Amino acid sequence: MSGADKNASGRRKRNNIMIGLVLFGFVGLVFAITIAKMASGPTDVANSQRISTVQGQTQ
Amino acid sequence: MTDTSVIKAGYEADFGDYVTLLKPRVMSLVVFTALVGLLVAPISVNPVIGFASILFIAIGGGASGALNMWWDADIDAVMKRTQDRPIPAGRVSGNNAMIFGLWLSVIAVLMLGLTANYLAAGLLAFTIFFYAVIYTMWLKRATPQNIVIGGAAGAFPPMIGWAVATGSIGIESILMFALIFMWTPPHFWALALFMNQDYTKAGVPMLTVTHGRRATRNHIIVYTVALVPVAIAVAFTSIGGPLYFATSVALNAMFLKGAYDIWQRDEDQAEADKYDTERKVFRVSLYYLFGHFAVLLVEATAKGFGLNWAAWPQWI
Repeated sequence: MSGADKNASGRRKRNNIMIGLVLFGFVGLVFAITIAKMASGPTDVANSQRISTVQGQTQ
Repeated sequence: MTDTSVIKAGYEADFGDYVTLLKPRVMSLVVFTALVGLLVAPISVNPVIGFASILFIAIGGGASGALNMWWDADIDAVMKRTQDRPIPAGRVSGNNAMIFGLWLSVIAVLMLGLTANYLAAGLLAFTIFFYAVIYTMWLKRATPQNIVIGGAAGAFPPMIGWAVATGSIGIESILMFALIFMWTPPHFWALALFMNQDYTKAGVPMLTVTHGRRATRNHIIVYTVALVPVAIAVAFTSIGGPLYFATSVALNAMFLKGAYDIWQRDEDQAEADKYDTERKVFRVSLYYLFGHFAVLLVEATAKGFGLNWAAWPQWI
C-alpha cells in the first residue's frame, strides 16, 4: 500500500468513526427524548384533566 | 448561481468539510440566542427536551447555511473571505451540499416538532425557508436592502427558543426578534465598509456598492438610533429588569458612539487608518448583541433565586 493510499484509508476510517458516533448519538438522543416525553406524559394528562374539571365547574 | 458540482479529482470530502458547510460560527450565535429565548421563558422545560430542541434548532440553522453555500458558491469563489469554503475550494460538490442541506432541514424541523411542539417547528421551517430562499436566492443579489429584510432570518432563533418553552409567541419574544432584526443592518454595513472590494468583485449589491460608503455611513447612524428604543424596551417586559436596563444603556451608548464616529469620518480618514474605526465598531456590535442576551440570562437567573425587583415597572 502506497503512502497516499494509506493516508486515504486512514482518513476514510476517521470519517466512518465520526459518522458512526453521530448516528449513535442521534439514536441515544431519540431514546432520551422518548424517556423524557414518557416521564412528562402523566403530568400532561393530569393537567388536561384538571383543566376539563375547572371548565366543567365554571359551566 | 452557477454549476459548482465539480470536485477536485481524487479528493474525498472530510467529515470536517461537512461541518464547515453548517457555518459553525453563525450556528454558535443561533444556539446562544435560541438558548436565551428558551431559558428566559416563564415556563421551564425538561433539560433533555431543552437540549434536544436547541440541537435541532442549531441543525436547522446549519442546514440553511449549507443551502446558502450551495447557492452562493459562484460568488464565494470570487470573494477572498469565502473562497476557501468547501464548495469553491472543490472539496464538496454543490449537489452534495444541496442534498445535505435539504435532508438536515427536514430532519431538524420534524424532530423539533416531535420533541417540542409544532409552532416551534413551523418557525424553524420558516426561518430556513427565509434564509435559503428569500434572502440567499432572491434578496442578496437583487437589492441593497438585502440584509435589512434578510436580517429577519437571524432574528428568529430566540423566538423559536421561546416557542419551545411556552408553545406561543409573546411580546417578549417579538422584542428579542426586533432587537436582532434592527441590529443586523448596522452590524453588516460596518463590515461592508471595510470589505467593500470583495462585494464589488462578486457583484453583490451591498449598500456600499450601490450607494457608496457615504450613504452607508448615514444609514448606519439612522439604524443605530432606531435600534436604541427597541433594545431598551425589553427592560420593561417580564424578562427585563434594572440589570438589563443598566447594561443596555451602556451598550447602546457605546454602539451609538461608534456609529457617530463612523458617520463623521470621510474616506480619506478611513483609508489612512485602514478602516480601523469601522473594524472596531464591527467588534463592538458583536459585544452589543452578546451583552444584551447574556444579561437577559443573568436577569432570569436572578429571578430564579427569588430576586424579583418588585418595584421595577413592567410597562410592556
